[in-house]
Amino acid sequence: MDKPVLDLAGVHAHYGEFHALRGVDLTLWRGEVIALIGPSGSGKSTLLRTANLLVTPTHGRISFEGREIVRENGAGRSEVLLRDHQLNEYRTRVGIVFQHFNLFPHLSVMENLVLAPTLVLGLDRDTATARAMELLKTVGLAEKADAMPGDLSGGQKQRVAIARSLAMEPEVMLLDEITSALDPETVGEVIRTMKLIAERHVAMLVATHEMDFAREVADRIVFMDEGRIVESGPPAQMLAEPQEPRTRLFLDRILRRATT
Amino acid sequence: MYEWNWQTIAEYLPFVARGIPMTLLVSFGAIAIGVILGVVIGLLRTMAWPAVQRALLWFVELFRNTPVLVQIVYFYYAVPLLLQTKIGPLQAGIVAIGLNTAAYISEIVRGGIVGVGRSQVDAARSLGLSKLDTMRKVILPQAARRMVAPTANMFVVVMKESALVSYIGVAEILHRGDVVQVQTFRPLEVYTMVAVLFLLLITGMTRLMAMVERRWTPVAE
Repeated sequence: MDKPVLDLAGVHAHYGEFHALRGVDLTLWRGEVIALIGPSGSGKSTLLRTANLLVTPTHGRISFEGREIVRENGAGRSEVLLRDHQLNEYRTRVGIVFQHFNLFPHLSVMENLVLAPTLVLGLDRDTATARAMELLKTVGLAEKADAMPGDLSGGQKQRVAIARSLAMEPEVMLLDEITSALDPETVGEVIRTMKLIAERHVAMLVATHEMDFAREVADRIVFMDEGRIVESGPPAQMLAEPQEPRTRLFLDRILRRATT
Repeated sequence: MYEWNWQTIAEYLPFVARGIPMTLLVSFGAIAIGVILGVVIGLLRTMAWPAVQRALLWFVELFRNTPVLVQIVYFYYAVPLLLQTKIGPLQAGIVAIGLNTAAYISEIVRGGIVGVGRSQVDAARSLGLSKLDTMRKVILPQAARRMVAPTANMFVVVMKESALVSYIGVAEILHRGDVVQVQTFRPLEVYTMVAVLFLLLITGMTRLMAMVERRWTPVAE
């Protein structure tokens, strides 16, 4: 964790009139795992989508590996400094996994994993297939290589989605509440997979309501509310003695729900 | 009481049935124009610059919101004056119905693409796929399956509309029926014959389309 890999400074984002991010400063270090917690609508998803530049910030700066990719112009508005192909390349290095999997339903599991490496990274099919097979083994789904997404359970789909993202060998993984749409009995298998990614020293920004994951795996917990970061710190401290009343209120609610 | 006369049918069926090739020519001519142009317009309406999209919306509205018969007459009588040329009734009919069909098919194509959903675009773009690759490899293969059923339905509509070209004298099934009716004054036999011929043609067509539809069903995640 010597160098910052992703650095956001004063980032604002809007959806039309809605002011979703209201000045976020966040540095993600190499290999660091950050658990992003907070109520629904607090801006966690928007923050992840902004980091991947699926959402373009209105104000603020973003750097990736020390290089500025979004800057502020004279009028204080954000400007993406990447051309189209550079933006595509950037996205291969900052992977995102979505709450609702977003697998390609017309392609087999294997094809889902091979598509982007062949098209974007320019790997030949055999190499891409071999790598995909390794990843499917890692997430425990080697025997599903030829299955169609529609035939998988929610947990299996999400593990495929994780493998698809890992196939690009990203430096950063953004996980957007990836267990929220799952049946309770399949949440465990996805969390185990998340831990495997953390062990690969891929930096992770994980929006989650899974406090056990946050406690066991995260290096830092960041609490967001109303488009801002309210508080952040190491899990032990954040969970045991949060400083801000809003953090305390949120944790009380979510931890009580988890134990009852 | 009107008495059914089999003799009329026996005598004139061959004459009326000789309109079948013309009906097929008008129908498939219009379908060909409609599919090719409709796909191009539908794609442009989701991807092109806003000004182009607006212009194409005008085209679609123009052809969807005026009667097909008016369009056919317009292409036969009015357009030749504008272009200072002659257009035969067959050409005018095929082009008019073809453009009308293109307007509808472009909406089927656009709807199919939009219906695939933002989340698939997000997934593809987040993996670094370019806009073009996203369209080619992710959106269109899924959208195509959604387009099959409404397009098949459109083909049936076109085959029925083809009878409208009888109005400008194209010798398809209905027009030949009209000719016989004027000579024989047997509307019941003549128009039953015409209706049954259309029924057979269009039922054959829907059977074929159903076979295609079974192979191309939409996939769910």
